[in-house]
Amino acid sequence: MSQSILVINGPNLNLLGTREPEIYGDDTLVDIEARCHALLQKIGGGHEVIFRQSNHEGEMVEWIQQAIGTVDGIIINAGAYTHTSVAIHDALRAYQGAKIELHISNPHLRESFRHLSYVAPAADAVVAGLGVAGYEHALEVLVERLKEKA
Amino acid sequence: MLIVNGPGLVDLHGCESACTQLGAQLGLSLEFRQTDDLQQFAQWLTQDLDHVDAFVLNPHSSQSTMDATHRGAIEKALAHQGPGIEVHLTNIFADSAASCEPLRPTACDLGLVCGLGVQGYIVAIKALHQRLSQVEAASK
Repeated sequence: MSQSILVINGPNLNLLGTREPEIYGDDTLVDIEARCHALLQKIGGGHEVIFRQSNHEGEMVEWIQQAIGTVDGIIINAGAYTHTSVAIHDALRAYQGAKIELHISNPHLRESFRHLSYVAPAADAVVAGLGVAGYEHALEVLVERLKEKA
Repeated sequence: MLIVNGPGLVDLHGCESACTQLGAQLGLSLEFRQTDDLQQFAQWLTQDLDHVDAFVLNPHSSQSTMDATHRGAIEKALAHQGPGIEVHLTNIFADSAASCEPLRPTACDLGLVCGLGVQGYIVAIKALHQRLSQVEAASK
């Protein structure tokens, strides 16, 4: 059975490739998305990945709500909302599909205000600090897990 | 590549064979270790990280807790090291008694993968292998 996966990116991730490249790398979100599509082509089986990015908390909450019952898995890089948003936490709790929290860098090795995540306790798993390649690694493992469950 | 496991991680559900198999597939020289002694764990890191290209570490099972002395010794051994990935079988941030704090070594290139079970090790090895291959390609 083919799986559909939603990748939600939060605030400032639209600046990827230009914003602090020493932390986040040179790749843009469009580059990452293209590699994720290529990865699914390689895996085969007709799996689908949808990439979204927003700087608005409420919009992210709506995307998670819309995913309930329609999307098999979510990968979420909530950006700075990771550390502040109880609303995203609650929406993720309501979403019963598979969910992975993702970060390009490892927030636990950075400023202490990034040490608390409201996303992590509402997610099944965390993948952080693997660079932009983390998106592909998370996608691959999520598809595998969903296939096992199906 | 060195994979070190701490206390309580004896029964890793075929984890070692899965890792060794993947290592062979990728052409990696991979060593898998486990100890129930956190002092030994920190000692391995102190002695051996300089001799490997990358490492995976799972400091302890979710049931055990790490005291400040052991945490300090492990974080000290990891300072200025990397690339490495801290792996936990379970989500250490889940609301349960078993939750714990991730490691915070200074100036260490350390990723974090938790909640993926044995697959977390597979993800970590693949990610580190990819990193090392890119570094190798860039230096040619």
